[in-house]
Amino acid sequence: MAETIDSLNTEARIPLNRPLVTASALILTSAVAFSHDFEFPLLILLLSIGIMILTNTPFRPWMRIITLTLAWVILVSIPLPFITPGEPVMSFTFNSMVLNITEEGLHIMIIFILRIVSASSIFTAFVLIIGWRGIIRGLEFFRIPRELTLLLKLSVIHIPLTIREAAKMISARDARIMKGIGVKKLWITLASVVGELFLRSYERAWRVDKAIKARSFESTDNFSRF
Amino acid sequence: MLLRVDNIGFEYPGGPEILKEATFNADKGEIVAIIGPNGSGKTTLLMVAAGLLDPSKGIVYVEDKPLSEQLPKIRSRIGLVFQEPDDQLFNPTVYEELAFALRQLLNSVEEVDEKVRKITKKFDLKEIINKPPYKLSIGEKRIVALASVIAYDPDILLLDEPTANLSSGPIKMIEEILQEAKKSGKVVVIASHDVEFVASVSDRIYVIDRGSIIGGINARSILSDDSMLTIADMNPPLVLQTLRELGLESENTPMTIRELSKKACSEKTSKFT
Ligand SMILES: Nc1ncnc2c1ncn2[C@@H]1O[C@H](COP(=O)(O)OP(=O)(O)OP(=O)(O)O)[C@@H](O)[C@H]1O
Ligand SMILES: [Mg+2]
Repeated sequence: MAETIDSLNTEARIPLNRPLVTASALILTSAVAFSHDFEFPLLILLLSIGIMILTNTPFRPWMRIITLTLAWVILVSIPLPFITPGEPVMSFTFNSMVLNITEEGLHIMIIFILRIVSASSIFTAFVLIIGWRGIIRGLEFFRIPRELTLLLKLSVIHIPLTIREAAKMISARDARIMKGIGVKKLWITLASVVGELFLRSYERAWRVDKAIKARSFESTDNFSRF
Repeated sequence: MLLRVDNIGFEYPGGPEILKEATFNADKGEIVAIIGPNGSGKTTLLMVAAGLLDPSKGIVYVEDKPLSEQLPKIRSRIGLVFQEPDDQLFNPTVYEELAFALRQLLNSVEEVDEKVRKITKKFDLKEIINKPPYKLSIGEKRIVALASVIAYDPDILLLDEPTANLSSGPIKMIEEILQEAKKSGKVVVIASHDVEFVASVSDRIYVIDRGSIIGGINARSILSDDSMLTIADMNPPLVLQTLRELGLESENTPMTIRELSKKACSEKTSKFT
């Protein structure tokens, strides 16, 4: 996981007009994310593969991210065919409970998966082509508030660190759990880890911001109190 | 005085006053140590001195001009090595980390590459140069953090616990680098708990005592003064402890193995002559 994200943490590979590329990435990504049919997401999926071939961008990082996205989106969309009302195509009996898979549900699920995967595909393709930093600089051009772009920058730099921190914290807690642990306890542990992680990330972002300032000699922004 | 921290007060938002009337200075060609117990404000003081935290009162001067008026340009003359290397290292690879400041100071890619190569050699980083910093061991991170600062050759070096987590090889290397910096007329300020390290490198020592700074006289006097060491929550250097036990403490008692062996040598030779 951390490695997949590492591959996004790159500088631009090809000099391109950053604001232009960033704008197209944003427009295409949101267009496909809100589309309602089959054709448009498919088109975008093909387009992202096309531009990666054209710009000679390696496919492996893209494949990894698409696989991760696909796995995630399938997982979250599993309930869709069951909960959408409509014509049943299959039904299960489960502890005297009847579960129907509906045609409408399947349709929605497939479109949902297609939309998310192609949105992620086109965005990933753009990121791989001009680099995540390129996207951030592109955003800066559009006068997105500095804090927001800084937060994005820091979170990308720190996602691998954050994951490690989470792993460390969970193992630190595990090390102190002596007996078998129930699902409820486990859930509480995880929830507290997430809260703690958020605070730690904030704290760390603050310090890393200082570190960046300490070695930035040209920045015009004045030093902040905190 | 190249660096003068004058009557600084500081508190974190909603917190108590960490620094009350903190004053210290350091001159060219001098290694000054700041000691104090955990949580006494050493890190905070170095951050203020580096211009990264704005004090609630008092002024930091660099060459008799307020630091705040010289920002951000002055940052290229100040190098702070953070206590936590994870806080300091933010680039995707060690190479990028070393090149980050150089890219702002040098004019061509070749010059940057040349300088990075030199630093890589000096700090023996060849094996890890393309690794992401977060995949290094703590000791390696610490050395990269120091190298990334030495790379741009600042006039004022601020080091926060430089020897923590290091084995003796790298500690010796840091000692050499500090001596070199001292010889070339740089200001070196270290915050440290490592009494042996402080004894072997520092010229003068300040002690943080409840938000104020006391001491500031030569290292030997501070390290042999029990009341100062009690405030700093430190033990005397081992050599001094041993000589004390043996009843051999005198005016010029050696503090480190190096001083001890020097003294032993000179006494031996003087017996023969
Ligand atoms: N970001 C922060 N927000 C609030 N309080 C802080 C923050 N950083 C430090 N402190 C508090 O300020 C005090 C001084 O901290 P500081 O890190 O300067 O001490 P230190 O002398 O460097 O300690 P150590 O020897 O453990 O490194 C501590 O009591 C600490 O709890
Ligand atoms: Mg500290």
